Amino acid sequence: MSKVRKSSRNKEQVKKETAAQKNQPAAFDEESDVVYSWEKSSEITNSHEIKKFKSLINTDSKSLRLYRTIVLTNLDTSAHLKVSVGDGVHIASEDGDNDFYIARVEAMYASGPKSSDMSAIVSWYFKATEIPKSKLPKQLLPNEVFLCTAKAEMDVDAETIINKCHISNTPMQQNDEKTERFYFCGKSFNGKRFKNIKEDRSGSPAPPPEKKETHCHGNKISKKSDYVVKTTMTSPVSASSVGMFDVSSAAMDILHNDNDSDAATSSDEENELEKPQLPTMMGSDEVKEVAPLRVDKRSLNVLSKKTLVVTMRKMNLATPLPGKENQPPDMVRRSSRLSDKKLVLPLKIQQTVKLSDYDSDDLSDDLNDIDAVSESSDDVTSEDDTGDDVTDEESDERLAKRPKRGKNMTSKARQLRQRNDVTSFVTKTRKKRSPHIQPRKTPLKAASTRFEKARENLHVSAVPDALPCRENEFQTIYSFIEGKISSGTGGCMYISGVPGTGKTATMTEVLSSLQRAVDDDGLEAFDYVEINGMRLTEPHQAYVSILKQLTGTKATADHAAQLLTKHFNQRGKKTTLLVVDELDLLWTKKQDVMYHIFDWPSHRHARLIVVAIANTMDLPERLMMNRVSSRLGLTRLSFLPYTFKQLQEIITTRLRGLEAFDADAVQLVARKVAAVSGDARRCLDVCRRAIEIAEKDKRSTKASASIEHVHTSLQEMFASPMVKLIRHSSTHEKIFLRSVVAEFRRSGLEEATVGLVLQHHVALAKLEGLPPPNVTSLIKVCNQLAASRVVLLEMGRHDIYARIRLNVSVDDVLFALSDYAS
Amino acid sequence: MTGTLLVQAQDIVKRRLCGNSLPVQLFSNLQSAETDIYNLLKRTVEYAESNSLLIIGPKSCGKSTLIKKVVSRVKKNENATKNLLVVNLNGYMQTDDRIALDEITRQLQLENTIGDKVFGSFAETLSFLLQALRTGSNESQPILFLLEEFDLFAQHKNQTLLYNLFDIAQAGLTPLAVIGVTCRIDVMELLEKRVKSRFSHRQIFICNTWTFKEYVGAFKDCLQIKVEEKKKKAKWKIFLAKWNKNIDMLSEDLTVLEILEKQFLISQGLSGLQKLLMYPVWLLSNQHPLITPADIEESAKSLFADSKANILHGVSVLELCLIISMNHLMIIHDNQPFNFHMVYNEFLKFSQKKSHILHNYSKAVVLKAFEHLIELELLKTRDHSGIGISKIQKEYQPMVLLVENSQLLEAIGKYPGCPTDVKQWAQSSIV
Repeated sequence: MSKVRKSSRNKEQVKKETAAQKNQPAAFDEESDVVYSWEKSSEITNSHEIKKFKSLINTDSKSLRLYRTIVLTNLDTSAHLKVSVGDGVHIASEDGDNDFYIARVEAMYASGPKSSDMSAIVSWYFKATEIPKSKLPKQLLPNEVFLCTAKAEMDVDAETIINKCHISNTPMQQNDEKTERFYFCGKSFNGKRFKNIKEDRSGSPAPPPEKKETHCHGNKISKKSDYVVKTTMTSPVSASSVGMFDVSSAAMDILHNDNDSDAATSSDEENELEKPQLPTMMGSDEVKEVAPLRVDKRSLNVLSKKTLVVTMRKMNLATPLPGKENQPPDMVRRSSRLSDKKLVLPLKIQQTVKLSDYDSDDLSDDLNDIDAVSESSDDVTSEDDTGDDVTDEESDERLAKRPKRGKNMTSKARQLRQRNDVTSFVTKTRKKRSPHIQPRKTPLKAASTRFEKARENLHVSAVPDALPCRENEFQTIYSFIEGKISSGTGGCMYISGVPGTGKTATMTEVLSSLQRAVDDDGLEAFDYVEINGMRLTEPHQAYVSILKQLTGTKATADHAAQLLTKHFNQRGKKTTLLVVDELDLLWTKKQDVMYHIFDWPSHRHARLIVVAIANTMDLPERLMMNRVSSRLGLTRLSFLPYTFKQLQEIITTRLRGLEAFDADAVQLVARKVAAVSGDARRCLDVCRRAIEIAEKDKRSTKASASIEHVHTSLQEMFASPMVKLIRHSSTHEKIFLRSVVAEFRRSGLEEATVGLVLQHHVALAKLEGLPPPNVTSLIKVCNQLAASRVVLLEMGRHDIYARIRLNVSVDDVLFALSDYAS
Repeated sequence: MTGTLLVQAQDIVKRRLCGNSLPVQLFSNLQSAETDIYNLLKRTVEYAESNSLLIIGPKSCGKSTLIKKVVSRVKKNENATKNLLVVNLNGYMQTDDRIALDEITRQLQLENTIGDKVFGSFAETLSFLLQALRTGSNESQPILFLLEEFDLFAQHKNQTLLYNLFDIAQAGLTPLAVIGVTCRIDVMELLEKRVKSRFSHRQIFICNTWTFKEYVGAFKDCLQIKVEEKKKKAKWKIFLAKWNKNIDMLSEDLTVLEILEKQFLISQGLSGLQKLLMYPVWLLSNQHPLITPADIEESAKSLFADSKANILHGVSVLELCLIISMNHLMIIHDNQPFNFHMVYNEFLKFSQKKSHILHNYSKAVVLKAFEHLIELELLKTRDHSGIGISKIQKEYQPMVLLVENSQLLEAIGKYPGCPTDVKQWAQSSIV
């Protein structure tokens, strides 16, 4: 059941993604600078073909123009890309991040005069990475892709095509040089299960007309003559792998449109196959939607069995019976060879080429597969004869039985390589659009008066020329990083300090100095990656963020961790400087994120420098497990809170030449703040507020902020408004507070229940000569006080037994109420 | 004709009582706070100066009205209308950062929204939004973030949203004004230290400083309608003159003043006044075109009604007797909990010795009545100790009475057809 759910999610995702791609490419996406023209000559005019393609597009619009070939021109590089019907292509994924989908172009049409109206109908292929692990066949061939037979949006904009690739039916060989853009497709995947591609599945979207895998030939044979079936169909695998000739190969044959009885049989067969499968594959509504599509195709791809039969017979002759190793070595042609030729030929010619190619195909490379097939072919069942689909378990079993091919490189490594190559390609051809806030529409006012300039300089965001009072720390960090970079090693450093002591600012300054050193003094260039625990939704997102900044690729957290570990194990790359701000938020129960971050620098080829920043000095001891803190090492630096002298210096440097602040006033601020927290931000904020007050103060004759202004500012920021609030609360609120105090005094505890306070309240109100309100009103009064947290009230349905406490000291309450009494 | 005029007037007043378009003069005491906030916003708009600010004040003292007023005033400035983007968030609606981020992206109409939908996971939205805000500079459009019920945002996990908003405001990227509105006076203590350090510590504290005279003035402001120059219809003027005169008379009526004072002593906020006036205003009709003191008295009666005394009117005599017994027990044992058997004994003492009208109810019937009182939440189990109370048999569970002595006496005074001996028993002092 879980399998089903997973795969259907996957399907959903594909659907959603493609839909989004079509409707709104601009969402996350890059701007496409691709313009395309199309060759007039390639416009399809043959009414027969038009009919065929139109039904593929599923429209009856008259204004459509169909093309065989279009040329995409990239404006940046002015590279041309010729795309023809039947080509395999990479399609940009809509999140724009170097991910791509693989598809085959089925038809191309323009619905309007503009270039943006060019769309393509494609059939999708899943990459192995797009399929949930649990569903993947046990053995994956390199670069294996799977035809998508699940329902998916087939219409894409032509400009989403990144480049061409080749999808063949022949598995790749290990000695194959160009593996990056060559894919092998032997199975289809409907979101639930795999199916070997069938000869006559007109329902499946287009296929590579070109090449076939050896073992499929056995099936062909089995189809054609019972005699052969008996002798050769000893293998369920071969039986299940019938589908090498699929729609488009069939579609090509349409040109020889003499539909004979073979076609009828094949479609009957098809119906048999499809009907029982569909409902299990997807929900019944989906079936409804899928069905017409298939029917369409079926009606247009009228198979010419004659031609097909001819070819198959030919192959029959050439194909050795499965299970016998001594096949003529020239059976299967590798797809790559054919596709290397420019596929600009009109459809018809292409077909002919392909069909004729079958005979000369070279089979030797696939002998292994055949072996495998024949080995596992003891349990033939009768259903194999009809080419029926096999169940998941069966095929899994069989796949498991396949002997492993000796590959030097795992398929994952290949994918990685391939991904990187594509990455660079994508970045070259596409310009990223980053999210931004619209620029303002009216010009900014510049600070003119002295106060305005002072205010600007005092804003925390104003970047001073140099950071005063942090010279030593700066030097320590700088030499640490510079040393590591020039020696090509890695290491960790831990920086701690209370908020507002200039940790991040110093780090930023170090960075810009390093950058200058790289530019001027020939320090080796380095990659810079910055993460902040507060800007992540969840610790594991750190991996994603690092990977994205490092390589520009996107991945899930787990995958990103693997990729990063791999990345830091590679040799021969630049030094990476990783700054981790707010480290304590990367804490997880297993501490795996922290562990990884501090473990990478110790890898031999990592060349990673980690600078971790956090507030607490003893974080490594307090929070981290031993193995994590041991990896963090002992290079630590602690930023002490600023002393009042330092704060004073910070303010004076910022106000140099402005005379907007009295020296005494500066000292007062510095002393006050240093006494509380030593937080430079707070200090600057107080000064800025003081300047505002001075600006507003009309009486002041001097044009600078004086001690009084600073004092008001400090009052505003540091004083608690509690006393003011109590003074201005309503009479009964005041009486209530007095009752609370009275009850505390009576019981000697700092806690009381509401009921007891109410009794005091009634008595006190009577004493004041006020009519005592009833209990409901008093509870209202109590709730008012609790809402502004003057008193703390126990939550829950305790009613008059709720416990109550004061959030201020008793003395403050009495002080605030003292003039009320008088 | 008076009918339509009345409906018009009623509409205007109803809108005020529901909190919209309150007359300006109501919040004249907040003048200096208003100027401060206005200047702050103006600087954000004109000089791209980022700022953060907290407005703190007790409930219904006009915080939100104030900020609304300031924003609309700032928007009158042409410079601001073209540039300022306003994002409104409310702690009760955006209950976690995920929802808040979606809402921000939606209100800013960033590129990952289509219509009202926001695409992408939580992590994506966060990084997207941060990227959007962090790539900005002085030249980006200034954004005003209005966080109502600010204290609830401080309860979000890690305070990620607040940290990032304050951090951007500190970093001189996209100009931001972050204004939080809250009624919690200890809100600063809720902020984490690194969030607190990034906050600019500007707090504007406002509260109601009305005297009773001003309160009565507010009462008049709420109800009186000014004659606008535009509407020169004679009939409307005549109607308004009559209407306003009536309000003036109301504000001098002794009963009304007494009620207003009672309300004022409990709460100085405007919301109490609004609640008080709602009923009389909704009551108006052609047959009853003007508000009378009696209407306000009626409204006050329901507003100040004691809920428990009201419930007690609906219980049976047996249940009332049980409540009296419990009340006596509470007095005798100094608020210590009791159980059913104690109550039953107390009740038996009364019904056998003193009462002549009560039947001898069986124990089961009394227990049933007792359970009914529990359902009404007039008494509850004493669960401060917490452990295993549900395991104790019902008759032995320790209970406490939630009815105050004064409530009981009030209820008995109003109880229809209360037997005299029950009444005497309730009023008798036992200690």
